[in-house]
Amino acid sequence: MTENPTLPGEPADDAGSQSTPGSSGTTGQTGAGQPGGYAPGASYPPPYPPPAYPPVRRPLRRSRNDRVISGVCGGLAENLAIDATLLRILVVVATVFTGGALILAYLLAWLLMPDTPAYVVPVGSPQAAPQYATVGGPSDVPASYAAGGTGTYIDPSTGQVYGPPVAVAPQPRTEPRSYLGWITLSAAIAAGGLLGILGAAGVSISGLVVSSVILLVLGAGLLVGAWRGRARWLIAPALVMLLFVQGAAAVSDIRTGSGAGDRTWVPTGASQSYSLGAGSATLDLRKLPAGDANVDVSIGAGELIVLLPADASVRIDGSIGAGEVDLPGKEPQSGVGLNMDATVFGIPAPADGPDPVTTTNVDLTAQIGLGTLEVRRATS
Amino acid sequence: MRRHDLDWVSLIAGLVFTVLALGYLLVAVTDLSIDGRFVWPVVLVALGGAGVATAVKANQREEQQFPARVPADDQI
Repeated sequence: MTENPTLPGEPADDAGSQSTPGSSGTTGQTGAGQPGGYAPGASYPPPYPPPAYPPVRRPLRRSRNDRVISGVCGGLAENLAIDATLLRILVVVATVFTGGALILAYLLAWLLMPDTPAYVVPVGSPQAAPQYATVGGPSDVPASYAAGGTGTYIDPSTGQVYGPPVAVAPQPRTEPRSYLGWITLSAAIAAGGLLGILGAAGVSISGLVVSSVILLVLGAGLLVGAWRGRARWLIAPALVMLLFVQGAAAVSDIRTGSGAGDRTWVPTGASQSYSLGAGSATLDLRKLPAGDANVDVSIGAGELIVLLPADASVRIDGSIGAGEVDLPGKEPQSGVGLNMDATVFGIPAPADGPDPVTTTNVDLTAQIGLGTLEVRRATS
Repeated sequence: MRRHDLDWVSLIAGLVFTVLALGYLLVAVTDLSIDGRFVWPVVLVALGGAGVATAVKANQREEQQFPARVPADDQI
């Protein structure tokens, strides 16, 4: 609205000075909304009411101006009169902590919330009320306009727009769109891809390095955005990336060679280690001979199911970046950064008696980036 | 990209993520380790604090501007 300092409804100080001696001299006195003063008989739209201040509460609609995916968060933020970026961060955090359930709510909102219409208002309709309407008569109105034409005229010297507008932007932008966020996100993706290429070419690069570098680029973009451009929404992808970083850190020794898919591991020796990039793994301890054994397991993303025979015990030293632990006889635990040190027996231990006697004792070191660890008592 | 007043939310978030990324890069190349249990609470406290500070500041600005009845967007 900066290009239109003269709001309709206000007395137009410069209106009189713009009118030529030849025009009707009433413009200055009639003031706001009296366009009839400078072109008698012309078919101008009726005087516009004074502009309403932006409503305190905008209707709940998907935003057209403030949109990252579909404008749901932008529209909700406009409706609640809060910062859209903050709302988006809350949504991302809540999505992470609800295990993605909020994605469904988002899709539902996308479906149910109407889009903000793109305004194309017919000429002369009451809705065309105008942010660009003006009062007072310019001296050099084109003949077609002065004769009652319906065209729009832009004063070349002042940039003022005269005549009924054909399109009204609901909320004109007040600052240039910043591409810092997209530049940063693209650079982060490219950096990750570059490291992936290096990894494929044989350079040993762990997932932790890749995800950390991506997070570093996102963080650098945010730092730039503190002074130049706008990129607050990068916080959302950075939070997601942080999850991956933590997952990778929990399994920092994972290499791409460990593969993906379903695995069944049946250790038979005293010391064995297994790793899986992504997928579901079953660690079957039933074939272990009597005695002590050490088993190391690391999984990038997925689940580990430990089958524990009745005559064995397993002492678990585990860490899970984000996910769930389900041990027999205990409430499942879920969260971020889970660490555990627990001993599970093949048969339930009496509440206040001695621990069951077992012939096989396993030390299990389990590292899972994202996923679940479950111990099941095997029946046979 | 236009220069603007210092954006504290971006600054704090950028610092947090940059420091964490550098920390985890160190973890990747050295024997250091970061206790993952502290990471998320720290991140949430930093972001939440920045959000609260910004919202309070914006609220003050809004209250100052309201009597003038000038839409906030007309400043530039």
